Amino acid sequence: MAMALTRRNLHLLCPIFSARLLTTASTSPITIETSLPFTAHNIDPPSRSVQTSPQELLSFFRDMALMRRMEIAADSLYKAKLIRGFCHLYDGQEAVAIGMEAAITRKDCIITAYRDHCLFLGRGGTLLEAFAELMGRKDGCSKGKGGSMHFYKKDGGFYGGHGIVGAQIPLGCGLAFAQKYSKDDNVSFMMYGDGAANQGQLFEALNMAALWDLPAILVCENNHYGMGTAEWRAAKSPAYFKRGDYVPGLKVDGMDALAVKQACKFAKEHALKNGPIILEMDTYRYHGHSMSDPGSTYRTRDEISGIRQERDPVERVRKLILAHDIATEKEMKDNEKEVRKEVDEAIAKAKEIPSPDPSELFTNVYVKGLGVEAFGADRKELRAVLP
Amino acid sequence: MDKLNFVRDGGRKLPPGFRFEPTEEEIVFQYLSRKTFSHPLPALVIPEIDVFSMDPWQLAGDSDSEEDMYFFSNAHGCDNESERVTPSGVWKANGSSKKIINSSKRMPIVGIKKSLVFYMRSSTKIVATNWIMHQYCIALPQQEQNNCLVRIGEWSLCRIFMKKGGRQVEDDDANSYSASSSSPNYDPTIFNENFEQGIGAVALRAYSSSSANKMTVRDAINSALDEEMSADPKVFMMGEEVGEYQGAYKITKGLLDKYGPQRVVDTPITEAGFTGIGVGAAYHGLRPVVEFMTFNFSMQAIDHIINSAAKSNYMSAGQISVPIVFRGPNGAASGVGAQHSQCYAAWFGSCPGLKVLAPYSAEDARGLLKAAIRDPDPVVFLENELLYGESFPVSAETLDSSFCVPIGKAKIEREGKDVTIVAYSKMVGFSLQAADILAKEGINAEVINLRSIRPLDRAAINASVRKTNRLVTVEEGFPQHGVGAEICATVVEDSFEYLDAPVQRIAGADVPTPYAANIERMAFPQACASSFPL
Repeated sequence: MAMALTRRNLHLLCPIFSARLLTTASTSPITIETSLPFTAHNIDPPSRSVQTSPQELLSFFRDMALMRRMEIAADSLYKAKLIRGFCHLYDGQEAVAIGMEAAITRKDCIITAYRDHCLFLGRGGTLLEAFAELMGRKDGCSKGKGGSMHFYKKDGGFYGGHGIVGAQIPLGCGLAFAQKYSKDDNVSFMMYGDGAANQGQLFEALNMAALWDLPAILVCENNHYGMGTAEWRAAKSPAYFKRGDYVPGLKVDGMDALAVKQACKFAKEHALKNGPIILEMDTYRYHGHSMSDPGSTYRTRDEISGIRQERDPVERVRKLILAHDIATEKEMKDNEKEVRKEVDEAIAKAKEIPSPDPSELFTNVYVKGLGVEAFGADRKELRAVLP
Repeated sequence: MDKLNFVRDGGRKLPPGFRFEPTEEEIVFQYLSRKTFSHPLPALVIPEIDVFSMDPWQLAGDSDSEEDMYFFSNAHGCDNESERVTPSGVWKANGSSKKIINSSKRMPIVGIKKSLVFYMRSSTKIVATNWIMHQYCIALPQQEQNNCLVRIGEWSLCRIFMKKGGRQVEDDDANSYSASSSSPNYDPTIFNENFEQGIGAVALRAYSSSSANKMTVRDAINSALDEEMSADPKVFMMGEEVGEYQGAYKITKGLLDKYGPQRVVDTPITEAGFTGIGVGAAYHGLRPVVEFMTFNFSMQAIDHIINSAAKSNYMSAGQISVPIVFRGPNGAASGVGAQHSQCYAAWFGSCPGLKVLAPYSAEDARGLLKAAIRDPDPVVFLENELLYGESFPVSAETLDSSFCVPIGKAKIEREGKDVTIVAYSKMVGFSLQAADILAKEGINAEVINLRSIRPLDRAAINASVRKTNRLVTVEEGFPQHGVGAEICATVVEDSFEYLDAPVQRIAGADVPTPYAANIERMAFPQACASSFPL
């Protein structure tokens, strides 16, 4: 049981009560059917029956609730002006991050665009690092120099955190190239949205990935809106999983963590043997594109609340847990309370962390600065030698 | 990473379709000279054998083939008339030696070819056989001694075959050079009994003499890539036509054969895609060298160069470093029109997080490229198409595989005291020509070769201006916001009181490059004495 636990995010297991719940939960396998079948393009889809365990379901719930809470807290922090600039929130899409993590290892690589807070957490990042980075403090995961869009965790196989729409796809194929070059039997997942799915560089990179049989998995997190533009207004063919043409694709219910897990496991096996594959995750974001976007000018509130009612990923797992008698209602409520407490504590701690030292303006410009002089805005006053 | 080795068990096993029929020039300048100077051979087709330890018919081994046999053997006897004894007979020189000259005159060395015939020993006498040997070795003409030839290196390349009716054994009079010790030009004391010492002395003299080795910029870049790929298995090349085509400008010639398609990757014509893939591979720890056929095409990939490569180390606070090199020809070629002639030094040079290099000579190209590949940061390496074929003298130090030129340091190509001319890439050559023209007018110009656009060697530029008090900057690129503008600003900031006159910028014309030769010439700086009609 301890071994299974180390595969999950240990940092999430702080409070005693639900930790006990998780440790005492059984690992005996349960088989659950995905709520929707997979739709396949140029490939035979995997089975709808997913192997899981009570412990896995509990950790899914815990992790997704944590991510949900973190994003909502970030919303408040942004409105309180403690987070500046851009803040793109992931709430509603948590199942994609969690299901993927359950199917892969930390040696596999993930790269995404700017909606990266939850993926960072999934790869082993801590709440403290995340909030400190969002608030621009020196102990953030990028020492306060990146911000919301530039979270990285290289030792966890997380390569960011990219602000330019679509750039992460060729970069992800480059990660896959390096994995194949080093013959290390791992894969790379590159995440992008329905907006980025129309980018030319995606097709350039996909062509090369297919030509060279790279272990690349392209994951389209289709939340149906590219900023304010609905998918039917941006794409002639919104069947993103078919866009690869000669590259096989799979359409997955992205609100079902178990379906995501099954698809990612399937994709990893495929990519290691046959090269690239596209996964389209049918998912939804409750917030607007970013904190500057209310999210209600291009979609109805009914739509948003409808999805929350019918397809919410956290609710689905909670229902599964209750249905299989893995925990009681009260235990689940306590679980959520602890998650809230954990997030609040992390925020409080992060608020105490100071801003980066002014000398950090000039650090990390180069790995090897060669003793070159760099100048600030006032060239006579503000200058530094890059080591 | 398999070496192309076609020698198995001492014999030659060539793949289907491969014909090994080298010309004499190839024998000397491709195979023997590389063997002598320990450069990597294009393909290991020739085994090493002491040809005089066996009789010629034993050399063929088990093979029944009647083809010519080629061996690397020691160079004993190549320069004198001594006979070479084998178990059953003796090889005797047949006639005088022939000189083989490199047709492109790139190298000062020449080949010497000796013809020998094998005589078999029968009870009381020796009988000529049909076995013929052509023994090739390398020599250096010594100008001080009336161009007499001094052999260098300890290898000779021997072609051994059985003479058949009709085949001529070359014995030409043209270019013949007598290696007999009775020749007054030949000094046998150069070679003493301590063989290696003698060869070492000759070889050292060969490298360090003032008419030392010359190398084209193309060969400099090719050898630098070759050596760095050989030294570090993480280094790989990627770009259009770099592999099977041997490089659009033949810069990567031979690398695919040597390192294989996994390390020399031909890409489709998709700059944005393959540049992103290169940067992603660098994120993961490999060391890509991405070639742009020209830097004009880098504009399609510039987002990845700047946003994905240059800024990553800073945004991730040191977690994601990008040890990548982007290289290719930059600036104007000749008659290629506006879309293929732009210089990108100023654009890339303004970006923090990038290092930008612009070599001029072969030494610059070799040293800077090796330094760039070893550097842990993204480097933009701006070559120049018209310099690829130009030859420059290179010292022995330059040819060493650990040779690097420091990034961020300019080189003073010509010392002077009246005016400082700062240039980079091809304009350095023009500036040196201009300095010669100025010298005739009594003006002593100092020419600085920047070598590095970013970091810019402000210290060297300022020190020079403080000495000469006048500054001219020369570049091919567009004038507004160009490299010259930055140099001018830095001198005005740091050495204002030392300037006796305003800084002069010479740059390309403020127009897209035209095609017609006369106006194209007007669009770029030229070095000439008379004033230019505008």
